[in-house]
Amino acid sequence: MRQIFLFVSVVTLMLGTMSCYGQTNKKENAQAIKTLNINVYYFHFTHRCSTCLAVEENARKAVEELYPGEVKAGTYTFTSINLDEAKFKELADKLGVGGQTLLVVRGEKKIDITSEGFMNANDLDKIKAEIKSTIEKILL
Amino acid sequence: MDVLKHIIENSQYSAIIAFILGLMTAISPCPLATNISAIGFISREITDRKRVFFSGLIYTLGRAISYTALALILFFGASQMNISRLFQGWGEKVLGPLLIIIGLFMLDVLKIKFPGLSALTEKIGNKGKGSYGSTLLLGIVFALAFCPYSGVLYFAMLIPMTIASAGGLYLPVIFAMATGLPVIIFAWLIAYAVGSVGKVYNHIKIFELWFRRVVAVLFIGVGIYYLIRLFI
Repeated sequence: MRQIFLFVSVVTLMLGTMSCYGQTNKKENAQAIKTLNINVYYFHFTHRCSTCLAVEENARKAVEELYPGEVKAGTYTFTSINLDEAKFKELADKLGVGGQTLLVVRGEKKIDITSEGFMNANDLDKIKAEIKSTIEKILL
Repeated sequence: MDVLKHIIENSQYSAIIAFILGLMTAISPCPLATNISAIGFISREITDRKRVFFSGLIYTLGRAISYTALALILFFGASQMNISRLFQGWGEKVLGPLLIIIGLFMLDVLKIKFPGLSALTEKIGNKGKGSYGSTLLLGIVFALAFCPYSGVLYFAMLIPMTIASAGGLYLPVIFAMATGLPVIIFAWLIAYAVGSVGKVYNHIKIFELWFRRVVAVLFIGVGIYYLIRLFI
């Protein structure tokens, strides 16, 4: 009887440990997937020029049209961030952003395409090409 | 603008790129307003064409001082993030009230001495035939008022080229020359055209007085324009 009780205890303990390990593993995997997501950020201030608005509109369109599946799944995102809002200060500090910036981020990697974005603000095709090549580069 | 962008995309010379970026800054809507104010300001001594032309150069020198000083600060390791956030975030907000105060000083409406502010506004708003100092100061101040688009042209495009190596530190000067070019040309043209009219009517002093008042109202108008842009 004592032996049966000992056996059941050991099996229960093992199962518990395994399920805990499984959960940790799942969490780690989710974390890894999350950090490897592609995030395209457009940082701006409250007051914006017409070119600045065009950059946001076309960059958003580019991401959504180039990667509809990934955007739907949430693995590729486009986020517009107002630097005048205090809640975004931490993110801006982390990414080293001080002004209007168009940034492609994947984990610890980031590529600044502000210059290209503003030069082609009104040309959706060129912005698409720029974002596509940048994402290909950051995926390497 | 498209032509200028085309030149930038196809140019391999950073000096040409800096010049085109300066021209793009000069004609973009927001700095254009400060440049129009500057044209009015340096044309106020309209009958002296030579002086107007030199004022245009001095104004451009003022802009060059600001752009180069900022570039040097960044070159010697200041955080580009903090400097950029400070000027892009605050430049435009300070400009509107400052232009209105200068305009009011020029109109003689304001005579109160503000500690700290008075030296700046009085010098710029000085009604008499002042030195070139006020024009230089105007160039320095206007250059620091970065608008959303000009902020990107300077901080995101010119600065990376400039601080990449010590050899690039001359680029802000070329950029400044281009930003001041329309001011030099228009101020001189106005002085040339209107100056002749003034001489014909032989009422130069009265004309200058009224022209100065127009410039003051222009400053206030542009200042209000900036304030409205911020709150709408």
